[in-house]
Amino acid sequence: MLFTSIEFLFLFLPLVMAGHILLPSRYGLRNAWLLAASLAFYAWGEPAFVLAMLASIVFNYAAALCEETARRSGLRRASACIFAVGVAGNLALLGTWKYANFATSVLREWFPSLKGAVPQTSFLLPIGISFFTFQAISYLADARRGAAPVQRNPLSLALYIALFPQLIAGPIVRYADFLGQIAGRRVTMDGFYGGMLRFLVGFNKKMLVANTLAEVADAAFARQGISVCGAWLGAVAYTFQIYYDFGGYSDMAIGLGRMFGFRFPENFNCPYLSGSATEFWRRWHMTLGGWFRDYVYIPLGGSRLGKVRMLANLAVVWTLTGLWHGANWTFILWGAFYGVLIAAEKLTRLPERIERSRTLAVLSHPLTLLAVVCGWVLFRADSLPAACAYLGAMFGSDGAPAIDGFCVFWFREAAVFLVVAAAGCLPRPARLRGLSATGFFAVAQVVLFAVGVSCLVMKSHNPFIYFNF
Amino acid sequence: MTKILFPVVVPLALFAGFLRLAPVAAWVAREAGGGARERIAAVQKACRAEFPLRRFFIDLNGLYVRCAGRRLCNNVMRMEDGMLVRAKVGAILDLDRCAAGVSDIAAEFASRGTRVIYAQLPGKPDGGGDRLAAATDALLAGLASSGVETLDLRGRYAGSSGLLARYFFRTDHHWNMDAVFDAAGVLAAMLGNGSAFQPGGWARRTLPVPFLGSQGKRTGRWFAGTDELSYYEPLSKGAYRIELVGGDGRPVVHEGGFEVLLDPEVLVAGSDVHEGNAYKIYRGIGGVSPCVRYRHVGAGGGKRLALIGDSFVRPLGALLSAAFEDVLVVDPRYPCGGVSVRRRVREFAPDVLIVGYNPFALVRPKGVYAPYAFFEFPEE
Repeated sequence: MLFTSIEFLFLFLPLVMAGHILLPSRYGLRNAWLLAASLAFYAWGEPAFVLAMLASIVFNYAAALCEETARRSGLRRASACIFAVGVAGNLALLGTWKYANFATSVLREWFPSLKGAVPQTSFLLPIGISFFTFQAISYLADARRGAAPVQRNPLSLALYIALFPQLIAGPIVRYADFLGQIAGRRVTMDGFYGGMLRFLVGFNKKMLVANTLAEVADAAFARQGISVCGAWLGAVAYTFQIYYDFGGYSDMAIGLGRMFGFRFPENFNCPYLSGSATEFWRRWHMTLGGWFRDYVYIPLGGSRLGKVRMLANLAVVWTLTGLWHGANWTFILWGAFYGVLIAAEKLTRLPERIERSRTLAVLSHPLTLLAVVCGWVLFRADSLPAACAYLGAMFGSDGAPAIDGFCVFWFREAAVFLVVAAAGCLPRPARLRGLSATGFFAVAQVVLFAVGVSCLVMKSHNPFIYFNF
Repeated sequence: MTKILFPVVVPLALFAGFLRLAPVAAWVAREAGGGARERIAAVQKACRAEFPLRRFFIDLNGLYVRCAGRRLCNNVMRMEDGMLVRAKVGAILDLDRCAAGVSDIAAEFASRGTRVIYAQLPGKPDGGGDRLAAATDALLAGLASSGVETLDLRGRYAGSSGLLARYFFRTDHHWNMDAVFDAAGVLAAMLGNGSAFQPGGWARRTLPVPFLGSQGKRTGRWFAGTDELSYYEPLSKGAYRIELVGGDGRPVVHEGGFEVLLDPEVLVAGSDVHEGNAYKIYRGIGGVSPCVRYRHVGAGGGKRLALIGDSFVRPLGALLSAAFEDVLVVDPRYPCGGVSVRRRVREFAPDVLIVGYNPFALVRPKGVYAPYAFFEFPEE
């Protein structure tokens, strides 16, 4: 079920809110209600996949308990083995559903002799599997290193892994941060108000900005023989689309969490204002970046073991980051692209230089944005040749015309939204910072929400990018 | 104040939606066939269809799109003059195959002494540029080279933006009744029965409620406004009989004056702007009645006219019955009692056969009916 659907807004959410408000907080009744709702939420997309999630919950519950028992018994190697098996089990689940199709197609393409032995798999991807698998790994890792106690109550662990607001598109919540909220959260009027307002803001970002720009991007990326301006328009539209799509969804998740008393971490912080690729990844999908940093990069040694090891660690992290986003060469190359940029920045100490040089500071923002836009082309294209062709069109290869009717038409269609989207990427001026606390802002969000609902009623274009991850 | 009201008002709105949709969803989930996926899809569809204040939200959506400076709304494009047109045009059919199909039926009926005319009816411009116009030109050239008599009505009704504004609904893809009345006069004159369409012999009436056409229904009333729907009735009395043959081959017959050709649902009850379809004010062909026979005792010297056409022909058949004693109209897209179009027309034995479609007949349909249903006429 998507947050941007009539059945979520007008069937699921009122029912879950009512149950959560009416049930007493004692005896874990509210948690049990939220868990049941979360499973129903997940089953709505594809009922059979609930079994995969329940299997993941049972597996991780048992793995952590076994690991703790072995650790307390002084069986260090056994404890490490159990932990490794636990992580491998999660990765196997992810690998099977998400990467088997890609892996078998690559094998069959590269080694035609294997075609008889390796059948082409065609698994459907359970929604949000990358998110809940990473949360499960976070649980195992936090429990092992003592950042949080092992969970004895299977319902509490299930709630952590399956909680619907952050189930299908994050933010990725760490177990250590979540644990205290399972039993000790409070739903206040202020929290409910803030959460609902945040939800509406996210809904409006997604429905009104991201979906409109998605039409432009989809048209541009589907077009053969696009002009230079048209290609740039499509790339810029996609740059905004993915931010408002994912950012909007994160806002909705954070807002829903607050309505039910949870506090989820922020996921974005004006990413398009970054002055370097390193900074961009500190501002974009922050919970994923933090997850890779704390559970992969630092355990591998980070930058503490010399330059060569650091470069190797970066290669691992960014290949995995690319792969996490999807099983396609375009995603792998996109991850590698950022790996190379960040490695180069680390080797040249670019962030420090930018701090010292005003010229570099001025130049770094547009150049970073240019790299980000080109990166999104890789990310959006269906294949590497398509990405190359699109990037070629952006830079005028193959005699692409400078401008055409397609570009003029779509620019007129999207002009208002491009301006709004660009303005929304900037930090709010000091005098407008209090605006979001005013009644006017709340009323405006309600009006825009009605407009967003009208798009749902008309079944307007409503894709969701991170739904696939 | 907002902090107190807001957490109450918004959930109340959501609950109001819940109270309306929950029983619908429960009923649909129970009644819909198939597995869980099919039931979920049925619930989603029902939730949209039964959404509270649905019509308001459709209008609101159009208003929002318009205010945002956009011309494209739910796959409908608003032209500079406010005319709504299709934004996307699908693939064009194989024109040689279309021409061959029409030439084939024309040859058969010509050999039986029937005059056969392919009438190219006009259509609105489309979002695909000149592609469709070029395809239509090519079809007409192909038919002419096969010796089929053609009549191109596009220039007369859609040759300029001024003509389009005069002869087409802004919110619907069909030509309006002024165009149909004029075209009926042109055809009748061409076939020697033009006297029935003297200007003073007809009354032009306008429905009291506005008309929102098929494209307008996707954009709402506040995106491009609404149309007025006028229709024509002969002033002279006559004895008419209309036989509406359903898909199962069973006819429903109405007899009386010209008014029996008018749909009382539209005429008397008015038209539901969002749900109804006032364009069907003249009873005639369509999905429910793919075959219609009009009889007008004593008209046109006993001449028999057969029309094979699309929905553009619905009012044309009704008006032409004022000038011909026996008129058969068939829409070849839909089955009609297990009798093929070719056999039905053959049994009718017309003096004149007109095959007439709007240019969108050349666009490959999305699986509703066979791709070449308009152009190929198998025996059975």
